[in-house]
This record gives sequence, C-alpha cells and structure tokens, in this order.
Amino acid sequence: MPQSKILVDTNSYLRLAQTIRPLLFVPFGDGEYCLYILPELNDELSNRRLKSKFPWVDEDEHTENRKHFPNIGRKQKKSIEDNFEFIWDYVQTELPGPSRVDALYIAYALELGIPVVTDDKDMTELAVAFEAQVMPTLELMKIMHDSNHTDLKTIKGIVDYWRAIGDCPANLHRDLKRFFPDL
Amino acid sequence: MKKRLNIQNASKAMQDAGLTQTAVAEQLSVSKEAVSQWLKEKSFPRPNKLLQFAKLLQLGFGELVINEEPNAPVIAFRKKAGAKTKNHHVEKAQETGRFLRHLVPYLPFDTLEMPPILKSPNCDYEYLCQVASKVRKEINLNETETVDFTHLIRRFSELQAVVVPVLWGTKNRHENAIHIHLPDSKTTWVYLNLDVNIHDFKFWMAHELGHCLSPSLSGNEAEDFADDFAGALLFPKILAEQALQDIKSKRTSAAKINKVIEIANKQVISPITVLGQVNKYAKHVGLPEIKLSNAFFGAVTNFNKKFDNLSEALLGETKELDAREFIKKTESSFETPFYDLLRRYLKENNKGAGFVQVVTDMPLLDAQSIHSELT
Repeated sequence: MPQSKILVDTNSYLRLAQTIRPLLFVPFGDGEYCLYILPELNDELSNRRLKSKFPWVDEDEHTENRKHFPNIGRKQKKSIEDNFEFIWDYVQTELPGPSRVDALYIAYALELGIPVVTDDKDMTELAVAFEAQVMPTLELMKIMHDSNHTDLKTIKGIVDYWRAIGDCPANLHRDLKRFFPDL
Repeated sequence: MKKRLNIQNASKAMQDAGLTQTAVAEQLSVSKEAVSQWLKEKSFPRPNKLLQFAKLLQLGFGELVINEEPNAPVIAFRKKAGAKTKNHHVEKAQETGRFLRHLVPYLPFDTLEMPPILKSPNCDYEYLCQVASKVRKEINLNETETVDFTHLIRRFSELQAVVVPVLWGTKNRHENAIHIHLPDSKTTWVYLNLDVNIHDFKFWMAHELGHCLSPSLSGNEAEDFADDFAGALLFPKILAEQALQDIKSKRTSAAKINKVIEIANKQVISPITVLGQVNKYAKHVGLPEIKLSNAFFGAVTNFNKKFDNLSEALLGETKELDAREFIKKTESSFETPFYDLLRRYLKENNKGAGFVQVVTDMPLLDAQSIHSELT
C-alpha cells in the first residue's frame, strides 16, 4: 500500500516532535500515514539568536529525524515553484500573515495532493483559498490515536504542556471538543 | 497593487491549445460567463481558479498576471563588503515593505505635516559640511564632539523614520541595513542589524540618516550622498583639517597608521572613515592625499577586534536573552515604536508568527519568541 504522506508545518512540528518520537518518517496505521516536513524548515530552525521555548530542536535525535523529505521529481519541482508564485503573490496582496515557508508548504500540498497540518489561522485560510487539503494538529492526533500510533494519555499530556508553555493552537477548545470530547 | 490578466498571453495560449471559453469553463468548473468576464477584464479569477487557469494554459505567474504597483516600496541597502545586490534582494525587501504597510495606521507620527528634509541634497564638499554642521547643532553637539548612536536616534523619530533593530547574525547576509520607503504613506523604515561592530553600526546609522534627509534621491546618487553625509557628520571638516596636519607630521608609514588609529579610537569611529575624510579634505583644499601602506588594513582589523559587536555590548549574551528582554532593551535604546506597532497589529488582527518573521526577517524561532511575547 502506498504511503499517505502528510506535511506538518513548523508550529505543528514544534507542538508534537518533543513528545511523539520520532515524529517524522514513521509509517503508521492501516493508511500507511507518514509525516514529513520540508527541507526549508531546517533552515528556519537554525541560527536562532534568542532563548527559545524549543531548545530541543537542536538535539541530534531531532536533527537526524528532520533529514527525510518528500521525494519530488524535476517536473514536480517546477510545478511547486509555479504554485508558490501564485500563492506568495496572494499573501502579499490579499492575505498578509503566512511566511514564505508557510506558502511553500501549501505549494507542495497542492502539487502532491496531500494534506498540510497547521493551526495558523492565515495559513488555513490560504490553503482553503487554493483548495489545498488542510487539518489542525488535533485532527492529526485523532488520526494517530485511531491508528494506535499514540494514546489518550500522551495526547492529554501534550495538550497540558501546550497550556503550560502558553503555546496553544488557535482553536484548541473547539478542536478538542470536536476530536477528543472526552479530554 | 492592482492585478489584471495578461489578456494577450491568455488568448494566445488558449488558441495554441485549441481551448474555447466553454472548454476552459468546463475544465475549471466555472461558468462560461465567468471566463468571458475574465477575458474582458471585467472580473479577476479567484486565487484557486487563477492557478488552475495558469496550469491549463501552461503559463507562469509573470506570463498570466500583470501586477501594477505605482507605489512600490523604495529600497536602499547598506551592503556587506563585497556583496552584490541582485533582483531577489530587492524583491525580498519590497515584500517586507508590503507587509509594513499594514503597520502604518498604528504609527504615532503626525500625518498632517511632512518631516523636515533637504531641499537639494548633493555631494559638494562645502554643502555636506554645512548639512553636517546643521545636524550636529540639532543633536546638540559642537563641531568636535564625538557622535554617539544615541545622538542619532532622536533625529530618526523627528524625521518620522521607524528604526527596526534586528539580529541578523554576522555571516551569510547581503546587507546589514535596509532602508524601506513607502511612497503611499510617505513613511520610512530603517532596519539595523545589531550584530555588527560599533563603528560600522554608527556609520550605517549616520548613512541611514542621510537617506532620511534626502528622500528625493535614489539609486547610486542616494547611496553616494548618504555615504558622504555620514563621513562629514562623524568626522567633520575641522577635525579632518587637524588630523591631516597630525598625520603628515609623522615621518614613517607605521607612525602615520598609528596616528589614524589613535584618532579613530578617540572619536569611536572606523579608521577608514578617518582616512577617508582626511583625504576628502586634502583634495578639497588642493593638498596631496595621505597614502598608507597595506599594513593599514591589518591595523584596522586589529582595531576592530578590540570592540564587541553592538548586540553583545547592548544586550549581553543573546542566547540567554529572552524575547521580552530583547524587545525591552531595544525599545528603550532606540526609542523605536516598531514593536509596539507590531504588538497592536498582531493582537487586533490575530496574526501569527509568520507575519513577525516577514517584517523582521529574523530566524523563525526568534520570530516565534517575539510573537509569543507580543501577543
């Protein structure tokens, strides 16, 4: 069965990767789901200058896990670049908020026909405007739970940690009710 | 920015592909009327349909869409030594400028009056001396006192320029300062990398002040004026005249170099600025210029090594610095409204860290930390 690739954006990666280890490049469930980031995320995570809530991203275990990316051919690369031009222009003229890498995630998702996981309001709106598949982190956690890739205790721990460090997804309350009404 | 379809390219591509309006409509799941309206420039496709239309016609964004931006952000760079400015550097800075437009309504400046600017800025030596002298008076310094960057800060506010202090690191970057002017709001945004030595930083600040005083100039003319203004402000004619005599009085090249370094040390400016200003003065009065051996460049390197980067001097060890402290220290040191504008915009519009990253161009985790602190 072919893999069902899912792209996780920066925020979603930072919200999950410290607890669900390794987060990326591990197939799970009957659907052979497999999570990916884009190579550009690694550039984004490097060279920080200020104290961060996410110092663990520099640990070997995590940097190693971030070395796997979706394979794309030359034609797909060109198509992704074309998509990006349209998406980034729309950000600049109509929807300020997402960064260049955010826009690139949507460009990949469109070309590969795979969903992107994000909790960012503007990035979600951007995905919708271009008819890219998009889901919040808690929906991904629901898929992981349904695939026995993680359990409720872990999920509760993650959500509690988000609350503790003040890094909650935009629609945490709504999404919890929707995907984990028992939590 | 106004967008319209390139009808000529679209029509030709449809013709080449044998696509009628009806066929396009069917492929894109829109009405034939919608396609007709697009091609008559009566409406513009939604983003998803625009992209699908481009794919169908096999046209890139630049071939299908004409972007008209009469008030495009105007960019000037303070480049790192040896860096070449390419189109993508300008485009990236313009993208930042487009995001900055959203902060304009939050500016604390008087929007009714224009700030005082120079009538006809130029690089004539005597004219530059007059301008430098005037600016020195305005920042309460006499002709020989040392300019500190704190003296320059208030002038930026008075010229309605927003200083944006950023940490861009010391390597792998094309520029260490960017000046973005938004013609529609007549606002100016000056990005200053704090990860540079104090002498360079002070020169760039003076250079950027030169840009703020001369918005009528552009391109090389603007850069030349800003450079010449910075030199004249930091090391005015009276100091250059005295320095020329002092340096000339030394018999050996090594002693001359030591004298330049000594003067630079006293004025807290680069030895290169000292030598440059001395030679400009010499040329102006018809005297021979000072020529130093190559050992001068080694002496400058050693001179620079003695000083911390401004970020270290101002902020301490930044790896231990959190976003709150960074914002607090830069707000107070540079009297900048930037982070307050950003705070208000982010909160009122519920924007994410992506916006912070684009308008600061700082690494993502830093942008996240700043976003988290501001919201």
